[in-house]
Amino acid sequence: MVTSGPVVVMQVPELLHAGNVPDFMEELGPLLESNRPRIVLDCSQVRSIDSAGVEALLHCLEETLKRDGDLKLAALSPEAEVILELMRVARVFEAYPTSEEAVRSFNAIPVDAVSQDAPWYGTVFSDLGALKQAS
Amino acid sequence: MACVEVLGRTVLGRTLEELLRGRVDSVSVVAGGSFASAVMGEEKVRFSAAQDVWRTAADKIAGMNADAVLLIRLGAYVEFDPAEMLQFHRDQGEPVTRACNKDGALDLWVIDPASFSAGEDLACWLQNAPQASYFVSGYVNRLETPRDIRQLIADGLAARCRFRPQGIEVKPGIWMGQGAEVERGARVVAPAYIGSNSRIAAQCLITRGSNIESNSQVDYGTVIEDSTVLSNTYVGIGLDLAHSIVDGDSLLNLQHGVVLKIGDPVVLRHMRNGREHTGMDGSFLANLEVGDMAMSSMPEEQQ
Repeated sequence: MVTSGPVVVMQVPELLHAGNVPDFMEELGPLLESNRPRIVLDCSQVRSIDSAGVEALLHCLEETLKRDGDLKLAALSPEAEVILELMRVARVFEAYPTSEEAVRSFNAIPVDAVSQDAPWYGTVFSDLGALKQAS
Repeated sequence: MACVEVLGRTVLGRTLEELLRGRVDSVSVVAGGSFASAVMGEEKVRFSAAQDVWRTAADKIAGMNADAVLLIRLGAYVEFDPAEMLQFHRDQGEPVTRACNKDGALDLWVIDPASFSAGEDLACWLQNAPQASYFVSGYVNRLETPRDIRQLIADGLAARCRFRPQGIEVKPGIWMGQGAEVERGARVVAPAYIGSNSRIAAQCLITRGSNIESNSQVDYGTVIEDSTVLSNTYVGIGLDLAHSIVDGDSLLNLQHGVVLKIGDPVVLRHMRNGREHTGMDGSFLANLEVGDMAMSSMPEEQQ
């Protein structure tokens, strides 16, 4: 069985610039190295992100995906949204209006709810058979 | 706003051109704050900077030897016939004639200087003096919001007004100023305007009525869509600029309604090596209200 830890919500600082990216990464580092990290970055306070900040966000996403986890953004301020769109990375991240919604999205399809015994295509083929019979 | 270059020329420059093309004898331009006096090298135009623009304008009106003075508080772009408005003023016989359009009064008056006493508060006098209303049927853009600027550009590119791009129409709907350069592999989709000495790098896309004003640079692979890049601005590599107005390192996004100061010079920056031509220095987006005025007087012999 695959296990995963809790969803961690972290506040992104008001300014995510080259100067404070190392601090931000240091804080996020242990989370990124965990098994299946599930992280929500709350961007409600963000007023400015420079290219180093965007690079850091992309690096975090990459690390979480490598470990079979995910990183989602929440409560994007208009400023953060404009910057991410400007730098063509807005579509790379999954974003939610609030942190709560972002957290809930991790639990939308619990891993345990998917049966590991029956093949995923089982119901599709049985439905197809029923359709053929009907026609 | 009046001193910001749009489609290759400022609203002030275009207004002066229209006035001088008409039967106007001389024009005085009074401006508050920093101001580029070299907007156009025209002998009939006198420029002066003043702390109190209204007071200076009042002094000038009181000292004018003309039977009618046209007073324009720039901000709005108005297409009208000065001679027709002056004739209307004369016919009405009121000390003041104020222009208006379907949306209300405009900051455009014809004044009888003999009715105005030196030392009077001009703004108050304009409010209280008996006046006639002159209806402007031509194109008017009040330029009150950043959206109005984009609308003016769209209207200019679509030839819906006389605010036409300065330069050569290299393909239908694509205008380029002198020395503008579009690198091989870049794509400009009409309608669009590339100002003088601007450079569009390879793999860029300029589309949906965007305008890149003079001495600006759009770097490799960037997409500019429904946006305005003001003069002397560098737009970095691989960006997606949409529904925005950029002035140096300041970005106004019209969709989200936010103004951002981008502190990252690889993304946006003011190009210091550009030629001085507008008198504005990256502060335009933060300061949309200007109190510039243009006054013109009609020589008596022509009236």
